[in-house]
Amino acid sequence: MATRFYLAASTASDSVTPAFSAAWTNTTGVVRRLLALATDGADTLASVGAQTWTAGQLRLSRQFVSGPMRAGQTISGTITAYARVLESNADDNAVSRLGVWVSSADGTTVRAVLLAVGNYGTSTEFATSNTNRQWASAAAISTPYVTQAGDRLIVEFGYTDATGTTPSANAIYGRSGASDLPQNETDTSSSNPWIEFSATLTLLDGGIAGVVEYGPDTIFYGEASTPTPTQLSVDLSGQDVDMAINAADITEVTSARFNLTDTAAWEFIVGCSNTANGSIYTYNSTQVQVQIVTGWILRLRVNNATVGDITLNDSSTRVRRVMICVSMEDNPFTTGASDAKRYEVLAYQPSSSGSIQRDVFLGAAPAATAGTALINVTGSNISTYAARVSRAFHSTTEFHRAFVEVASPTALSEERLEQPVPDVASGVGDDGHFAGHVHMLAGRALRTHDLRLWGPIVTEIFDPIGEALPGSYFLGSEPTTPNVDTLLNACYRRPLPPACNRVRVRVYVTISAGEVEITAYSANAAGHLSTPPAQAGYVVFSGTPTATAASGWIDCGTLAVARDADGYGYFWLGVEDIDPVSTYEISAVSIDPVLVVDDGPSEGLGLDG
Amino acid sequence: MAKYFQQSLTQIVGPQKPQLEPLAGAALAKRSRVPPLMRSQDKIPALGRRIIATQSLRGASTWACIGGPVATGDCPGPLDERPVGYAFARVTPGCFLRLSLLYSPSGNTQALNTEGPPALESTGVGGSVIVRVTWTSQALSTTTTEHEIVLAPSQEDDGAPSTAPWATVRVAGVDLITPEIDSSSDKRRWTEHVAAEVSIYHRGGVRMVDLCLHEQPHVVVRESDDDATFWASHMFGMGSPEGPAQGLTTYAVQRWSETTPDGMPQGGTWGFMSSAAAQGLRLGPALVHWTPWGETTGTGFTTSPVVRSFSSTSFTRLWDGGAGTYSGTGVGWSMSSAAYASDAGECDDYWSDADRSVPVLVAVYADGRGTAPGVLRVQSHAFSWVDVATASTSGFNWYFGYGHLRCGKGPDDQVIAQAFMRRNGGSGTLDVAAVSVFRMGQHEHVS
Repeated sequence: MATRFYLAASTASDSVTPAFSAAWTNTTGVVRRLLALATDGADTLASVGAQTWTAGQLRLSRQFVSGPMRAGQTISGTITAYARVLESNADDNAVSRLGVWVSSADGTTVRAVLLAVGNYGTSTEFATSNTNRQWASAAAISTPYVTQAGDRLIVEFGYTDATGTTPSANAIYGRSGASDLPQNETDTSSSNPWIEFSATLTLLDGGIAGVVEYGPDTIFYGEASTPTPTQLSVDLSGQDVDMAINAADITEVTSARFNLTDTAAWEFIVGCSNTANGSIYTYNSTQVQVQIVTGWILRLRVNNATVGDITLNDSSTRVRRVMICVSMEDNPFTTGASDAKRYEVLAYQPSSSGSIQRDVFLGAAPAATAGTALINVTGSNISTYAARVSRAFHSTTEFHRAFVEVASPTALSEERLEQPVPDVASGVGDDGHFAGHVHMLAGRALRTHDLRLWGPIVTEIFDPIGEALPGSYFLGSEPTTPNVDTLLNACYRRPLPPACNRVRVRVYVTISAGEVEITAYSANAAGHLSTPPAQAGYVVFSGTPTATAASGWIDCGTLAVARDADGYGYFWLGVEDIDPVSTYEISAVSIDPVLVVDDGPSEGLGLDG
Repeated sequence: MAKYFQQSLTQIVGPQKPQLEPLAGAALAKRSRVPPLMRSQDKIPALGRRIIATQSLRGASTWACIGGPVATGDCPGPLDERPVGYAFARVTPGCFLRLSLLYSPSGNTQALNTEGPPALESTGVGGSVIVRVTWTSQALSTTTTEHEIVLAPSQEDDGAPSTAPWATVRVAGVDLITPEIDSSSDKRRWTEHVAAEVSIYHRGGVRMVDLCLHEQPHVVVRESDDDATFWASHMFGMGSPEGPAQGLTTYAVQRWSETTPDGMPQGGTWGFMSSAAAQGLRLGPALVHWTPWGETTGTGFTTSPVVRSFSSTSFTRLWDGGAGTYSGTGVGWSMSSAAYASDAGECDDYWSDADRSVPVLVAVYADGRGTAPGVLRVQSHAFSWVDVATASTSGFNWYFGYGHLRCGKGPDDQVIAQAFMRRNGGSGTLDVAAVSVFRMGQHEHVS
């Protein structure tokens, strides 16, 4: 399935600044904008303004930068692109030029050139009024490229001339149109310019609002038992583009990957004896220091002052492994700057009687949130074997979100498989036999029987299947989100089994184009009578922006339930039509009861699970 | 004289997690540690609200009863019973039925006045829902109950639909639908594994949003000589409903009485084991309840069953005649919650630890029209399906098939079931008006 991108007029790209391709000989005043997967009514179609060049030059008009892509995707096949443009005068003889390449996540490294800057259109001279032009027509990518996590697509639209006179051109970018430009060179409508890859490409956030796809933590782990800095410096997150490997340490160079946010977590596995005396991790030299110092003391220092010490157990002259965990969060009971943060320090020595030591300290926040980090790998009688720095430290140039921000809770529904119980004929419960194991086995069976009457609360196939929704009569508006249409024709009052505390909602949707958001609701009264409605983590289903239909099950996640006085719960669906060109159909709905349980320890018998 | 034991199921809530620690090895054996487990066995049948039949809008874009001024096709007759759904269930022991209605006020009705020049006339605004249940006991005694629920009429002119349907939905229902119960023997008869054939009708200008007929735990009664597989409740703490009140069984550790008639089946290790086994056999979810009736697909205001018809001898999809091949990612019914009742002993070996299956009874309400036998297939995996043979017999009958269906490991593990139908020899066309699927233990094969 092809992937179509739109050319933002006003939406800025992520804060990366890939260099313009060297082939462009004139880049005066060029800006970067987002290469977007979706149209956006707020990103109004707009002229870029007259862009001049000296005859014969390759004039870059604009660079478009995509969000980070998923790893392992093959970019091959062809590229097609259309945009409206004009030349200022008929003797400008202006024509299109295009370049497409792939950069690393931070934009600093050229991963692959898909289309070198050149002519991939018809060479038809621009008109003097805004008219559609072909910038590429199924231009073949000669060398396929397999993406690495976070790679970005870079698209450069530009012009040149065929012996023109003081050439000047003016393209129109944006993505607010109701439709996309057709594949011709005559259209003058206010439609969206676009570039399309024949390959299926997905970005790391998948275009799914509300569902955050996190980049991995920054993790260093050497295969060797005592890795060298080089061995250890392989960042398993795949973003090892900004770390300098020195003789004894790994140092952050360019990005702000380790910059601090409100929360932080550092973990290290080190090898050392009681002769250790030095730092394992520093941030801005002295703002944060994790150390083991003389006296077999694990020390956390912030702002060049000691926040807390733990005197480690089992001092030994033998080198042993110590796992060190340090975390930082806001102190909810702070009385001022001096105790703004709460630090938790933990040391675990698996080879020393499984010693676990933990303490909590209050202290000031690090003085600055921006700086560079250093992981000492060797030296100070300490060897670092592995390091993990929370993704909360990822810089804005990397794909990231701070810790958990997922809209839907992760359900841990109970998985039931009956405990077999011997039958009476077995004789194990006869007089004269020990009864204890019978009671135990039957008791175990009991614990797995309690949900066995739970069936689907809603499992419906709409009739007629695929009737275009919404039926306008049945629409309501969601009070807290007015753009959401609530569907009375997908509304249910159903009995909730006692103890059911969540439901799993899935909806089968087909959309013709654009995207819609499907929201599942649960409440203790229907529609507007509910106060307030309980809202599931909504999930956006993105269809392709082409005429090709997309369909499938959307998992709305788990939804808390509410009961009315008779024990019934109300459920309904809401739809927000993100894209005005969308038409959608709902073909099936399923709501299954879930008992979300505390995944805590078993009840002491070791028999659970 | 028969000796009955009764357990009320109306005040029991919450999943049961009896503590097992006191029963662990090296703990002192005390009788007092066993009763909580036995009491918990009593509570399991009370935790279900199995849904037997539904009738909802299912995405329809308009009501069948458009209402407003009388006009050809817009308003139904005032007295006609229009079937909108059928279902079959083996009712959970101890449960009866309860009806919930979420509806919009009813619209206009009309009739043809033939006195003078024939003309349509309004016969009043209003509507009602009729639920008819034919109950068949384990011993094959049969009785039919009927409930008619009159729905509020629209206050708009000519019974037109509300201009704000969300704001005017109403709730109605019947709290308990039971066969006639006059005695403990009646209770015993109707709290065994009873079969219920359900038919639902609209009368007048009904505008239903969601109708739901579901099980409601009420009471379970057993006679002391009932076979042990009927004792899906331990009834540890109950007395005799027809004699002097009895407290808890005197001895928690007590054998099932061998004295017949009228021994003491409560308590004891035998009772404990038998109850667990009976629950595994008899308690499980209702999974599918499908009828083709829809607000916009019903044939006008027909008083005949709305059906899907099949003449092809190749499988086609039940609900839309689409391709007759299974797709695990396509439109279908959710089988995922069936895993709650997945038993180790009943799980097909094929699915082993990575997946689950449950034994199900598939019921099909079909009419072979005298010439067209058929096969309905419910499928939840490429290698997991249950076929039901339907006869060429003219007129609607329930047909049954028994087998295992894959169900996954739980609600987090989506498994889709689809249904396909074909004519199996013969000629002509056969009609299907309903399909019900529910979990059924292996003790009750239905041929």
